[in-house]
Amino acid sequence: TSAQAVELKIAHFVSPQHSVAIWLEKWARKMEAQSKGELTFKIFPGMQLGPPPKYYDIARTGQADITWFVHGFTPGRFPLVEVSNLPYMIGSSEIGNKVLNDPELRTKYLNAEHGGVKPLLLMTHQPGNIHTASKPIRTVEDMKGMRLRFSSATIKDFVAALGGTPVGMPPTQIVESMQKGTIDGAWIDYGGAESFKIGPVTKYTTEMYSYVTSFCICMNQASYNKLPAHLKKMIDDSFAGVEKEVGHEWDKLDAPGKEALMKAGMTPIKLSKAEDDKFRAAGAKVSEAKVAELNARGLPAGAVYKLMKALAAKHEKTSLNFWTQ
Amino acid sequence: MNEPGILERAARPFGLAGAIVLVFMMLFTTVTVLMRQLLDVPVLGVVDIMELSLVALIFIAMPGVFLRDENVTVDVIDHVLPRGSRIALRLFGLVVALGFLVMMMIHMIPQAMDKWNYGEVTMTLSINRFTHWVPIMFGFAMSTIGTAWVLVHYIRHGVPKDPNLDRESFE
Amino acid sequence: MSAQWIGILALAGLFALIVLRVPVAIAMGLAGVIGYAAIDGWDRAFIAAGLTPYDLTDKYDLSVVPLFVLMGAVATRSGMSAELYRAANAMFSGLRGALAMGTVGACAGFGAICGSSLATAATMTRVAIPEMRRYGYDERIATGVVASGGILGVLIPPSVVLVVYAIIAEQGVPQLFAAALFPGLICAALHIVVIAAIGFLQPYRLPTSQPMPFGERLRALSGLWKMVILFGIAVGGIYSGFMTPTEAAGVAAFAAIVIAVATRTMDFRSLVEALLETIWTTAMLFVIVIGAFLFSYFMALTQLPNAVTGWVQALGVAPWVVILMMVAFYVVLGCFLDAISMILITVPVFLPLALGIGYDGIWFGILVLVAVEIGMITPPMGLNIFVIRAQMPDIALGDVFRGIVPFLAAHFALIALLMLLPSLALWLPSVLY
Ligand code: NA
Ligand code: NA
Repeated sequence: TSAQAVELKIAHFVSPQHSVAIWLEKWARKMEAQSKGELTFKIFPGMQLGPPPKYYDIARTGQADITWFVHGFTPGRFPLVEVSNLPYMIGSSEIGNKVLNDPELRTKYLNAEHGGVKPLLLMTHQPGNIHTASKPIRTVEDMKGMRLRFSSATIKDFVAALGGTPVGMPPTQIVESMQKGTIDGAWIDYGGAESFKIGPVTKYTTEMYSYVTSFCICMNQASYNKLPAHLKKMIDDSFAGVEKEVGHEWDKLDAPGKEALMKAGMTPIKLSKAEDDKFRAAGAKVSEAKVAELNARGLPAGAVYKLMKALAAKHEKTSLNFWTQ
Repeated sequence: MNEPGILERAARPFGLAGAIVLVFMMLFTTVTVLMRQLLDVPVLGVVDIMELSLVALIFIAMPGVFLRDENVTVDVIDHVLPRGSRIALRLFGLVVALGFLVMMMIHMIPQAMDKWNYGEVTMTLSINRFTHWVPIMFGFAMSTIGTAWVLVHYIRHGVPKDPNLDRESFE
Repeated sequence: MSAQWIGILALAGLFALIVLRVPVAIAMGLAGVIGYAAIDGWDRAFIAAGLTPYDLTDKYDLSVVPLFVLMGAVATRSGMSAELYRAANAMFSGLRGALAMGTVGACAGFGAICGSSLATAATMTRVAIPEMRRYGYDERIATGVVASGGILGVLIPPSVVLVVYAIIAEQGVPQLFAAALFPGLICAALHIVVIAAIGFLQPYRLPTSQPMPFGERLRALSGLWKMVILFGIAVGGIYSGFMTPTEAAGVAAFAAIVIAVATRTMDFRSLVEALLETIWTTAMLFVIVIGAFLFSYFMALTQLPNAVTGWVQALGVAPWVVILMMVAFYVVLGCFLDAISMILITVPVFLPLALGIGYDGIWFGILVLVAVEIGMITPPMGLNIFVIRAQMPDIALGDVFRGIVPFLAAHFALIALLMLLPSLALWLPSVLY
């Protein structure tokens, strides 16, 4: 081809064996083939360009062209996106992806929060659970006084509302802290629990499937704008309608993650209907308070919450759902 | 030994301020451990506070390191150079350091302003993330001034003798 | 020019700047920015530079460094470390080089409560070097054993570097810690062998101490009670689950001050001096860390490790030769980069290659740990050396470098043993997990 090849840098903080890394690599090779060499990609995995919370900034400033980042690592930066992280909003990654990429939600509210970047795809993982080192959690009362690692700022309030003490720490410190007893347990999804190897220190997992964390694959806005129209369209098209496929990638990490933990000696706990209702009621209160707080700051959080709830209810009918499994 | 020179005296307040942060970090961890283990009262946001303290400690003390001209250098070729060339190299090192610090200062500002504009906060205590930039900016700004001062001081009053080479000259 | 060639040129440029006496932190930062610009243009290079200092704002794990350095400074100024040291000396008394052997023992003991080779080297510098100088040890051996013995701080678990590897390589932290235990102890034994060999070949460099009578040895041991308390707080605190390493370091530092004041071995003035010394050491090290971060981002950009992998694969040699070449690459890279940066840059590239030719991920982690830690003691950029230098400015850097040479043999011997007997690393985790 006569066209000048454009080289794009992809950066993320997980290892090349992580499922998102594999997906991005496959996507990059597909784009190279489709563009007949007009686009080439270089991938920088595993925190090579900085610590995990930096990956939004890396894309925003153009240090890399495309990154994968976690909204919850920079609390306060994406307040409306984080509404999706509130307790019992999303029942599976498939549902989460379908909700977050809804055109109305995206164009009206969420895209604007991603200053300096063009979000290519918003995602969530499958809902997470509580993993405890020694004490089982079967009822809301069991939560009292438990020191629990939370995954994002929204879940911090949920832990506190349930009577626990929220402890913020990166997932890398969970194993040591649970082993040493500086925390009694951690909120994380089964897939994450497996990849951070918390199996040997986990005795019980209370399967609430109560919350998700959201992610974004984004592109530096200036890098995107520089592309010729046909390449822009090619990239846009490559993300159209992938919500279900990408969601399944996450959702299918749940079963092997659970299996690996059980092999290491973990006993899963299913909540009774009555207790599940109590957890959900506490979650609803936390959500209400959070939405009110954001509303008070002049953000349209109420509208976003309502829209997300409606979208989730709509997609639950046609998607995998951990709540009804 | 002479009494401490003016640069050493100028460095001391930065060190003492850093020492106060260090004492705080020590007492804070001790108190939180005691509260958790003896009174069963967990303290919220230990990680947030320790991370902010570490940044404060490093960058409040950083200008002192530059004022004491104490940055680690490698003196493998010093022994074969005449004193005139050694002095030239030390001044060269200071000029390079000054240029680097100024470059860093200029390009840190937009990144700090971004945190100022968007209200990012820490995980547990929701401390505004711009707070972390304050000691960083302070450290780089004062280090820049300090390095310029050291450079001017050396040019006007001469470069102090190197302890290694002094020692050798006695042998 | 390809990015790999820019990487090689930048390494040469960094070397030149350092030799020309530009501060190491500044040289790394400058080489990083210029190299970054050569690959990606000035705009992106300046953005990378402007973002880098902020990368220190989420490093809870690193707050262990000033607290343990403070504990060491207090222990040293109040004479506690000297007491520990006398006890270690008593244990080896009668042998040629007893103080140096005692230093190795003390490093290994300290390693069991500390996750960083820097903090170990920093503490043992204050404790051991003045004593060895007083007793007429060759200065090169005195500094060499501390710099190299400091590595025991990270080989013997817990180990910050292994945690970083575990995350990047998706391997288990407890398994890695278990795997590191025997190689760490063997490394300590190898250091003692090296000291004994020096004593045999060049007896004039190592004084012999009089063998102490049994009663006197006991007395020396009883002088240890303060250190035993601190050790108990730190080790007991961490392993019993009462504290994280940072918390243990904070409480142990506080306890050291309380003991020193209560036994009237430290006044307010020397407490302030201990604090100031800790502050200067910490600030100086972290300024280097900023430079190292910036340089490592540039190195990632060059994809030099990927290119090296390509060259190796093209050779079509036996698997153990590939591993040996990786070790050689780490040793060369270790001249310029710190351990954690090297792991971040290379493991994503090297691990798949190692797994592909049939090696185990846990074993590879221990091998990489030993290989990257060698970089802590090799010129021109060797953090353990700098930490000694920062506290002992009157010792010529060249002497420290020369003193390390014999101890490098211990590390290379450990690598050879790991390659010949992988079960040295793999046996304990296989039993425990
Ligand atoms: Na250790
Ligand atoms: Na080195």
